[in-house]
Amino acid sequence: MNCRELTQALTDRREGRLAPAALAALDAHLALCPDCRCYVDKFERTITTVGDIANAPPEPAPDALIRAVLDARRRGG
Amino acid sequence: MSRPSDPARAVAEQALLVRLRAGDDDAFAELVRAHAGRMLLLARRLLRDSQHAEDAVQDAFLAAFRAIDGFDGRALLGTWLHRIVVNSCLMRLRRAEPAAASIDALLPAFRADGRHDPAPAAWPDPRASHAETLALRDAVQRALDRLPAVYRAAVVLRDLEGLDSAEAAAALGIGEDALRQRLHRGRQALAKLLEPTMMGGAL
Repeated sequence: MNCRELTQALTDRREGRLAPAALAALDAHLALCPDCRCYVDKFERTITTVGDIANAPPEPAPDALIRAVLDARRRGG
Repeated sequence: MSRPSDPARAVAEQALLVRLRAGDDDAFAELVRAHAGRMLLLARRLLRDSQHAEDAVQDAFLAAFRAIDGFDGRALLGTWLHRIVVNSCLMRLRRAEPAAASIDALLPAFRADGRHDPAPAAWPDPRASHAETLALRDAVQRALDRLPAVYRAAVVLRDLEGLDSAEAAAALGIGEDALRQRLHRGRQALAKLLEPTMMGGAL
């Protein structure tokens, strides 16, 4: 496995979709390649960072939107 | 996705549902106030235009009102509304951002022998002050906005909304392999788009 193939396999690895042989090849490459360890760190932190904003509490919707929805319903929208 | 496992909540939902089906104006107002903020946030993540996001939420509520008699109560109302607003957004996304813009420039590059080119630069350890958390949130939203629509939808549904691959693929009307490919490219592109922020500049 080379760096290109490793970077392409990272989502499949997270989803448990790599065959044991591919997983072993990935781990073997990773053990020897600082560039790929760096890339994996950035890839994983990207997913964590994006996931973190999911925990942001929503702001209340604007009153105008709520009124528009309720008015449209009364009009039989 | 959440199901009505909390008995008190299930009872409250059932009572609200009875009032909704009876056409009680106050019940509709309660439903909209309780869920509009969450739905708008989701819509804004899927659609980069705030006005389109509001329109998608309005469409979703009106579709939900029309379908309320057919709602079987097996999912929570919030889960059901979530599904409807996702569909409403995806319909708009197909209309507003139809062309599959190329993502190639945002993917990592390699030499002919398959090695990284250039070598990736490490991100420093994350900082964690409140102001930086808010700035990071903005940076993530801006990065999502810059993703071509099909990749943005895959990342938002999987990595923000927490759908599994089967659910996200079904929502997008594609197979799971295609979903995983879009998700993977979207994640790689986001890593590139977040690079300036994560390197410590341009928060």
